[in-house]
Amino acid sequence: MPDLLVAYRDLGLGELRPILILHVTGPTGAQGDIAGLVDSGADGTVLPAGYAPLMGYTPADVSPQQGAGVGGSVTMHQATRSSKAFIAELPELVFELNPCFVQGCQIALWGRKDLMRQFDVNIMERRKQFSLTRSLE
Amino acid sequence: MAAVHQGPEVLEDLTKYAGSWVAIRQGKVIASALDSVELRDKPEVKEDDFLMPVPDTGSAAFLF
Repeated sequence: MPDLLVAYRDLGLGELRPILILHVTGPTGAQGDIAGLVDSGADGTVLPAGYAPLMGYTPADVSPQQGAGVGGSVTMHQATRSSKAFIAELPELVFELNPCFVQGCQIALWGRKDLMRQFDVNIMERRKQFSLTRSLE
Repeated sequence: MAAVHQGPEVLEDLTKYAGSWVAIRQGKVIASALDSVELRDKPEVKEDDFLMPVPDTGSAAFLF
């Protein structure tokens, strides 16, 4: 039995997608909700660069690295300090986020290393919904 | 029984804000700006408003 069912949403962008809202607390305590795509193709959490200052990250808290996307090589900034996140309906499960910030990235991606180490994700494209089940590990 | 995810809804078409950041409250855009810090610092934006970037018009399909 899954812990959470999530209907696809369009967030005003015109197309239903598997979007999950996480409540995120940055390393300095700054908090807010971030909407992101559940993306098994992303190794970890990828965020538009504009989230870094909102979450309290400074240039000293990130390390430049090269990454690869469908469009080729990108420079990303890997956080060296963790944030915390939870889903509003499952507040007892707080997990670490170690985001990469990417200039030009236009939507947050919840990839495998953070979200998917906590939850098994079942995408039901035909039903336009997905489910999350707490991992037993 | 599984919980059902809620979270902030967006009731407006955001395409006119393409390339900007928007602040959402009760489903409506209450402010926009070209970057996240400029938006956060606007006086009409409250701490618990939902801030998000709006993809530019070239991102009608996301490919990763």
